[in-house]
Amino acid sequence: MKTLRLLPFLATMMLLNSCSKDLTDSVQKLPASLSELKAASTFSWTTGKTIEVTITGLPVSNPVYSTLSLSLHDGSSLYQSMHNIDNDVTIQVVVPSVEKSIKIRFGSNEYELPIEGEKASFSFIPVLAD
Amino acid sequence: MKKLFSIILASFPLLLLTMLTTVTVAQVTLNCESGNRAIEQGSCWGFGATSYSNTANLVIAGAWSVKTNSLTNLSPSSCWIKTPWMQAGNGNITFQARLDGAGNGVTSKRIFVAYIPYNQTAAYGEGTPVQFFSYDFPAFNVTTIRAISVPIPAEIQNSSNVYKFWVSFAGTGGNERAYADSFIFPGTYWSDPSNSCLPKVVIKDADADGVADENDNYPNDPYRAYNNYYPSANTFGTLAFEDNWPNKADFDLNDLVADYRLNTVTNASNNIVEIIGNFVTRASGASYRNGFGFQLDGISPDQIKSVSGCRISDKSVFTMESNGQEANQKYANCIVFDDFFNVMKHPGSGTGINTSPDAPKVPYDTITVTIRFIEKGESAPGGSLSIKQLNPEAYNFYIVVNQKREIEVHLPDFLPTNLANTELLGTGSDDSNPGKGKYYKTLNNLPWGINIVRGFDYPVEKVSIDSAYLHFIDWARSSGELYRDWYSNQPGYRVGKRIY
Repeated sequence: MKTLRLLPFLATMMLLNSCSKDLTDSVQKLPASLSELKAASTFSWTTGKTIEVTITGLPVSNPVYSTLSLSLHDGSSLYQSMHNIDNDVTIQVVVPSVEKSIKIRFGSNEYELPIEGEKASFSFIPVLAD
Repeated sequence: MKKLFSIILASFPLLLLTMLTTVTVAQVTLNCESGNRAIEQGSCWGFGATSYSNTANLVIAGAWSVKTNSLTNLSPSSCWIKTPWMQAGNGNITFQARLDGAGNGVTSKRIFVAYIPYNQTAAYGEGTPVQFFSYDFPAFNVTTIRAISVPIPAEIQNSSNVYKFWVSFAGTGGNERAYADSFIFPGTYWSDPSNSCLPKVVIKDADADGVADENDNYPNDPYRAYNNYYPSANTFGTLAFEDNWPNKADFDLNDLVADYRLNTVTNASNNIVEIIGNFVTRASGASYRNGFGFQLDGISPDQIKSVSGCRISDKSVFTMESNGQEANQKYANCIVFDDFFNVMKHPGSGTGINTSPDAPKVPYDTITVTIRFIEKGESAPGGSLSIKQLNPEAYNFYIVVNQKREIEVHLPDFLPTNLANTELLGTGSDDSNPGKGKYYKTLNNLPWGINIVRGFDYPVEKVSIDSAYLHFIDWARSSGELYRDWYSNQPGYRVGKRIY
C-alpha cells in the first residue's frame, strides 16, 4: 500500500527529471568572448544599413522639377538631387541601423517614411481620404 | 530679285497658315481618363464629394467621367471640382454634364461656375469665390448630355493674376447625381505641386543652373548644386582596423582608427562634380607603419579628373599617377595617407598613438581629400558619373600594412584591389573564399575591420572590443538585430576604463 502511495510521487519525479534533461540540452551555451563567437556568414559588421528608397512618380502633363532630398529623422542631410515629379526612381542611402524612418522632401513638401526591413517607399500620387 | 519677291509673296498664305496652325492655345483640361482622381489631385485639382466613375451607360466621354454624390443641397460647396491655380486666358470654359436619372423627380439641379482669386493670407491661398455663371438642368430628359459653354469674365481674361475655377453641382428634390467630363479651361497652368499646390513663383537662381538659391548649396557656382553626405551632414563614421592580417587579431580594433565623412558634390544635372572626403586620424595602436585609402568599386580611373589633398611621402611605396590617383589600378583608388606615423607623431611613450591612457595624447589630424570628376563643367575622358551610379557600398576602405603595398586589409566581404597579393587570401587565420564572395573574415566570420557609421570610442591597447563594449557579442551573434546601439554610452553598455 505504501508503495502504491509512492507511485504518483515517483512518476512525477521521473517526469521532472526528463523535463530537466531536455531543457539543459536545448539551451545553447552563449559565447563568452569573441574567440568563441561564430557569426553568421552574411553579417556585415557595420552599424549602418543600405536602404533602398523607392519613389513613384506622378503622371503630369508638364514636367515639375524641384529638389528632392533625403535626410535622417534629426534632419541630417544624406542625399539631394534635381527631380522631375513624373519620374520613378530608386535611391540607395546608408543610414544607421537604429534608424526607423527617413525624411523625404520635394520642394516645400516633407514626409516621413517608415523603414521596413531595408526599404522605404513613397508615391507622389496622394492617398485620398475618402 | 523680282522672282525671289514673287516666291515670297506666293508663299505668304502658306506661311500664314503654318503660323496659325502651330499656335497652340494654352488650356487646362480634365478628361478623367487616368481613372484615378488622386493623380489629378497630385496635379493640384480639387474634388469635393465627387469621384470618378466608369459606369458604361452614364460615362460622357472616354472610359471615365466625374460623378458627384447625390445632389440634395443647393449650396455650391456641396459637390464640386476646382482647377489648379491658372492664369485665365480668353474664350469659353466648356464641359459636358448630365444627370443619372436615378432620382424620384427633378425639381432643381444646378451647375455654378465661379472663379477664386489668390489671397496669400487665406487658407490654401483661396480668396472669396466670385460666381459668374449658373445653369439649371431641365426637368425632362435628365440623362441627356448637356454641353456647357461659359465665357471667362472680362475682368480676369489674360490677367497676370492667378485664379482657380470652381465648378459646383447642387440641387434639391431628388437623389440624382451629376456626371461631367471634357472640361476645358482656357489659360495657363500655374500651380506648383512641389509647393503645396500654391501658385508658381519665379525662383531666385543667381547662378542660373536651374536650382533655386534656397535649395542650392552653391548658389553662385553654376558647376555645383548639391551636397550628398555619407554617413550624414552632421556626423562622422569611424573605421577601425586590425593590422595583423592574415594572422589572428587581438580585436582591440585600434591598430588604425579614422573618422570619415564623405560629401559627394553634384551639379544641377545630378552628375558628380567631386567627392570631398574628411578623414580624422585618431589612433594607431600599432608599431606597423600603416597606410589608408579607399577604392571606388566599379568606378574606372579614367572617370576621375584629379585627386588632391592626400598625404603621400616622397619615397612612398605607393605609385601615384600625375593626377593624384594610385597607378595601375582597375578601379579608382584614393590613398588618403601612406604612413600613419607621418600624419601623427608618436608621443615618445606607450604603444602606438592614442591607445595607451598613460601616454600623452596626440591631437587628431584632419585630412581633406578631393576627388574631382568634373572641372568647370568638363568631364574626365571616361565620361560623367551620376549620383545614382555611385552606390554607397562603392566606398571600399582598406589599410595597407607596414609599407607592404601588397598586404591590404579591407572591411569584411569587400574585395581587395588589384594591387593586393591575393595569394595571402585564405592563409593564416583568414578564411576568404572568393568563390563564395567571402573576404577578410575568419573561419568563424570574424572581421579585421569594422565600420561604425555613427562613430565610436575605440578600446585601449590590448583590450578586446567585447570587454569594452558589453553588448558587442550580443550584437554580432544576432547579426546586428540586437543592441544596434551597442557603441552608445548608456548604463550597462560599456566599461569606461577600457575605452580610450
